[in-house]
Amino acid sequence: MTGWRPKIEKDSKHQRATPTGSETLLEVHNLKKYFPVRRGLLRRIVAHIQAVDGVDLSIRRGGCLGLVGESGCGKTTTGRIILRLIEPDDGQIIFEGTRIESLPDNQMRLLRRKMQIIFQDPFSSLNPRFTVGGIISEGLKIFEADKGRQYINARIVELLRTVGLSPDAARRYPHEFSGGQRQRIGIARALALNPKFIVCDEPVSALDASIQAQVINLLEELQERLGLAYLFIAHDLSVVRHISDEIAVMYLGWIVERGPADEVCEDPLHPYTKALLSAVPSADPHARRKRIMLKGDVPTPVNPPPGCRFCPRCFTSDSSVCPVEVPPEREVRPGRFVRCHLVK
Amino acid sequence: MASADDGTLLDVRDIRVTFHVADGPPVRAVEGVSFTIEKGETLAVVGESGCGKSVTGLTIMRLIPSPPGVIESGEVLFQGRDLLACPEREMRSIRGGEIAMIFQEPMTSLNPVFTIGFQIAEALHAHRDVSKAEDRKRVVELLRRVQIPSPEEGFSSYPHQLSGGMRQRAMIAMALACNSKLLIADEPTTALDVTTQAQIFELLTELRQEMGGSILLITHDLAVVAETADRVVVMYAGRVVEQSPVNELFDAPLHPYTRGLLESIPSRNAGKTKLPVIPGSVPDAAHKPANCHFHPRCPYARQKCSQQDPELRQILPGRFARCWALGDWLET
Repeated sequence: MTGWRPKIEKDSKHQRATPTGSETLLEVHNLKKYFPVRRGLLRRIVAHIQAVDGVDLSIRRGGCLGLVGESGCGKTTTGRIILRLIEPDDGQIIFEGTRIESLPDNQMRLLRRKMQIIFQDPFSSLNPRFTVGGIISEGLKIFEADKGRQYINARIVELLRTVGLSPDAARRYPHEFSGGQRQRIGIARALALNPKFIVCDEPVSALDASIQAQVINLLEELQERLGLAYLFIAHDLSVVRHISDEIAVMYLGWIVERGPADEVCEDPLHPYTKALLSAVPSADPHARRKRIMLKGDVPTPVNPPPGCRFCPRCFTSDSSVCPVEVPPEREVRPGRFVRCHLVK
Repeated sequence: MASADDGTLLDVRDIRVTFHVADGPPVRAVEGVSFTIEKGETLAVVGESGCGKSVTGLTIMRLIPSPPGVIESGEVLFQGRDLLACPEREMRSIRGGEIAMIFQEPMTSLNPVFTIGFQIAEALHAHRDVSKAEDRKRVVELLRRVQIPSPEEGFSSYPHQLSGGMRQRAMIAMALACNSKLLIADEPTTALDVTTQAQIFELLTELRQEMGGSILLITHDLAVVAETADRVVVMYAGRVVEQSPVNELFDAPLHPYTRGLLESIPSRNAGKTKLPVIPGSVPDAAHKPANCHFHPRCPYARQKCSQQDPELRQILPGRFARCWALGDWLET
């Protein structure tokens, strides 16, 4: 069982070899979100921002999918839609075999225990008026209040220990902690209800270099110990490659390439992935090299280019197809999906 | 990296900057930082937040807000002249003239109510005797040099109409306007995406080669340092802990802090192993550990480290570090 989009299943000899015992936890098909742009006195809708336009993803149990792309490409929106913090306009979200995109609120609430999120900014994502214990136990008080105060207190201590904080942190307030410690508090909060899936939205981008590695190690340790699956959203490819087993690259609302992490990084197929990888500075002064320089900036998602969205900045495009036809997602190698007309 | 005496453009000597805050102990942001920048060189000052790297940059420009900041001692010799001692009027002609500075967030350094063209022309007028009639031509030429597409249009656009990368280009154009000899770039690409970052660094490198100016690059990102710098100054808690040419630093870091930082970079750890980490966190600038500020986090710490302050000393030719363990190693 691979769980990639259904239409490729007929091509079964190309199915991904997945380790035995692993199965799909989450699948997303043709996800779309268009945000209306309103102008004028009557707040009429004058255009749509095509933030996410036909995204397909799948994450296996205990796996980690890295979602990379530049600002405004729709990666954060995708993460939030999967948790239904933003409602999708179209598409399917299948979590543990259940379609959740149109689940009524009362049922969705129960599911939220299994799906959590960790935010980028550890300063704005913790309520400054709550004690750390209060922040961590909010979910417990909603879902496990019947187990009593003592249970909740014991659980807070356990969670703080899990993320490497001392139990007396529970009585203190967020401002008393450093950025790395606050991110640990955010992780403890996400773990409180024993989730199976966590969306990590740029969890280390705001942290100092010497603290980043600590948090990455913690996330990896927890993944192994608790069997968590992550959607790891980040713009830093070296971090994503380290933690993920699969990578999806987003550009202007599309997933332009996805596949196993090492393969995508070693042998990128889509021209955008190539440019992105070559733009990442390498922490090795001997490896200074000629880069693939992309022309211009990312176009606005209000009026994305017709045909291939990357075409106006592409260095390999074919003027007879690329600006005209929308490239479909194709499986060009086993497990490697690309949205480009020219990749053979 | 010719280290001939006449090749030195900027010589920063033992600067100390303290911020006096109302309720709390004084914050010693910079504690005796020294380094030199040669003509045509890119020197990177790298460190984590709060290490004093930005304060160092601002001190060179004499832009430390005072109060609460006080430059307690030190010299900043720019072509032999001490900037910390020269009168404010002279300093004004140096700022933006001979030394230009670009910042992390170009949106906050540009005035939102004036056009890009007006703001660059303003820099020209402040430092060069040019007629208004020439303005437009010269500014458009500058915008073309920083590769802003359709520079005519760029001239009359407002900052909010440009993308982050284009705004940073406009800032660079402003710095170019007066043919500055030194460009201080304080986290110039931190707010930008990687593909834009690559464009900006390529532009800076090109311009540096073309004009023979020097760059002081202030950053937290070691990978950026590896790609752009000639020499590196590593700062920790207000002090220089290591100073080395870039290749040597990345091949064989000397100071335990530099070593820890480099080891924790994911791309230098092939395979999915646990990343080596520096334990603990960066000390609060008002409560730094006594003597070697790094000793509580250091795997090589010994008794001496918490009792006596190490000096920055030469460990290998052209390579300096502030560490007792290295000094002892040198003697044996």
